[in-house]
Amino acid sequence: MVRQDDGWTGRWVADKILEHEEVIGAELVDNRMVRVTRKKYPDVVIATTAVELFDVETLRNVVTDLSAVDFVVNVTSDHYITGEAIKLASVYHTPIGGMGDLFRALREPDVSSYVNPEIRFIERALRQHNRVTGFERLWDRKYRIDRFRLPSVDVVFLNDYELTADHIRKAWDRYGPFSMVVKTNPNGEATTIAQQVADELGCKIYDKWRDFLGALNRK
Amino acid sequence: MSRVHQISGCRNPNRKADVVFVHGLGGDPYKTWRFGKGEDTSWPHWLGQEFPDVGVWSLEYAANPTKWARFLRWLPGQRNAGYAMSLTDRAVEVLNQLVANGLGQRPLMFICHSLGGLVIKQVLRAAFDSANQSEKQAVFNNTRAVVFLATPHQGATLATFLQHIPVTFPTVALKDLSADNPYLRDLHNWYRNHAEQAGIQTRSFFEMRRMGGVLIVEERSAHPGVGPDPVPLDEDHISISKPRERDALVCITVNDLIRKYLLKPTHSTVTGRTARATDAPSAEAVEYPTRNAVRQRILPLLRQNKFIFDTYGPHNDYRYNPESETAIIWRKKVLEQILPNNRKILAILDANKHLLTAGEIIILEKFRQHVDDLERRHLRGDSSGGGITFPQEMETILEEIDHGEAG
Repeated sequence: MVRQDDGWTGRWVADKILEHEEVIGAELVDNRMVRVTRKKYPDVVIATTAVELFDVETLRNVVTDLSAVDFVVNVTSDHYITGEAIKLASVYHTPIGGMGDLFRALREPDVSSYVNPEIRFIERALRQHNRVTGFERLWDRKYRIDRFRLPSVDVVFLNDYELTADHIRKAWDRYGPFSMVVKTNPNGEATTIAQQVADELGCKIYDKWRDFLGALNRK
Repeated sequence: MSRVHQISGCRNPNRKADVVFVHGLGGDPYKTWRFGKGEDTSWPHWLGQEFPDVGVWSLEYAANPTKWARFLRWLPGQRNAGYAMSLTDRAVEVLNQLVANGLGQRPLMFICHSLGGLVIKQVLRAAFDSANQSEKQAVFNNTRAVVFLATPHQGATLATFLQHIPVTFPTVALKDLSADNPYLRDLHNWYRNHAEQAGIQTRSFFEMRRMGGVLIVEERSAHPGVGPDPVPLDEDHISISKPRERDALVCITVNDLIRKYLLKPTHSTVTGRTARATDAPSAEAVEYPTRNAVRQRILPLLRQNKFIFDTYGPHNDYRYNPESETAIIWRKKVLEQILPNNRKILAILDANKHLLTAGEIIILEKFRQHVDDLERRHLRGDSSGGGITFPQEMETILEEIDHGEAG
C-alpha cells in the first residue's frame, strides 16, 4: 500500500488546476503545497498528497500547520479516509477530498467551507429523519447511526453507478463489518452477484434511497 | 386449472380496454370482490356499470393454502379444493388463458388481491420473456396499470408462520408466500425495474386491521418498489378487496386510472411501449452512394445522443443526489430517444457496410455490443452487470471522404 508520495503531487496539481475555468495562476509553495490565484475569489493554498489510505498520520506528513491550508487534495482516485483524519481537519475547517472535490470547491468563494455534495445530502437526510437521534462519521463512507428506541446501525454509502460484488467486498475490507450498504447514485443498480455477496456477508443492500429511509424505522 | 370469468362488456368487440380482477390465496373470482351476496355488492359489477366500454373480467385459479380440503374436490364446483401450483407454473397457465380470451389486444389493467399480485407480476414477466410470441408479449406491452391490494411483495409473515404448523399441510402456493423468499425478492426487483420503464402505473394499498392478532401483510412488504407509497386502509386482509361503497378510495383510484391511462390513447395498442425503443427501423436500411452521404445521415443521430448524454448522463453531478429527478429524465430519454437512434444508426451502417474500412467494421461491432448492453440494462432489466461504454471512435466513423478506403 502506498503510504506517502515522493513529493511530485504539488507540481502535478499545479499543472492540472490551470484547466479550471476559475483559475488564473498556480505556483508551488513547496513540493506539496500550491498557491492558487482565482479570477473572482481570493487566493487559496492547497496541500497535496497521493495515498490510498488517508489517516491522521498522512495529514500530519502533508501539513504542518492546518490553519494555513484551505484544502487538502488526495490525487489517488480510489482512496479512503479515516474518521479521525476527517475530524482533525474539520477542527481547522480544512476539507479533504479528491480532484473532483477540489475542482468543485474552487468554484465557491470560501473553499474551506466546501462539503462534498453526496455527504451534504446524506447528513441532511439523516438530520431530518424522525427516527435518527444522532450519527457519527466513522470513515469517509461509513456512518454509525443512532436511532430512537432501536439499536444503532453501521451503514456504508457507496456512489457507484453499478454496485458490484467487488465494491461490497472492498468496502468490507476497508471499513470493517456493516449491516447496511446504501447506493447513493440514482442511476444504475446493484448487480445480482453483489446481492448474493451481501447476503453472504450478512448485510443488506439498499439501491433505492427511499427503501433505506424506510429501513431506518425498522429493526 | 385457471379460467377467466366474464363480468361485463367482454363480448363487445369494440370495447376500448380490459380490466382483470385477480383473487388471492383461497380466494374466489366472485366472493373475493363483494361484501354481500348480490351483484349490487360486487366491485367488478360496479366497474362494469361505470365503464360500459370496458371489458371486466375475473380470473379464477387454484390457490389453496392447505391440502387438507382435497377430499372436497368431489363436491360440485369444488374441483380446485386443496390444490395449488407454484407461482411460475401458474403464471404460464394464466398467461395462456389471458391470450386465449383475447386479452392483451387492448389497454389492460389488473386489480390484484394478495397472492394475485404476485401471480400477475410473474405473468407480466413471462409475457415480457415470450420472445417471438407477439400475442403473449402484447399482454406486457399493453398493460397500463396494476393495482395491488395487500400483496406481500416480500412475503407474508403469516404464511411463514403457518408453514411451521404441520397439521395445515401447506401447498406450494403458501410456500411461495414465505417472508423474504429469495424468489419473491427477485420478482420484486424485476417488476420494480420494468414497470417504471414500461410506463405501467402502479398503485398499492395495505391493511391496518389485524386478523386473529396477526397483520398478514405489513406495510414494508406491501410496497411494490414503484409508484406512490402504499396507502393504508382501515380494513383487514379479507375486507380490503370488498369495498362497501362505490366511492371508496380503492374504487376512486381504479376509476381514475382507467380514465387517465386506459381510455386515453397513448400509443400503438398492439406493438406497445417497448416496441418504440426496439422497432427495427427498416426504413433506415437504405444504401447510400458515398461514405459522406452515410455520415451525413448518422451525424444528427449521433449528435442528438451526445447532447442528451452530456446534459442528462449519469456522469453529471446529480449522481450525488439519490433523490435526483434528473435520473428519471435520463432513463426516459434513453428509452425514447437514445435507443431508437442507436437502432437507426445500426440499420444505416449495416446497409452500407461495403463502404466501411476494416477498422470501421470493428468499431461498428463494438458499437453493436454497446447498444446490446444498453438495451439489456434499460429494456430487459438485466442487472448482471458489466457491459461496454460507447466507443468514442464512432464520432469520427466515415469521416474521411475517400471512396478508395472502402473495403
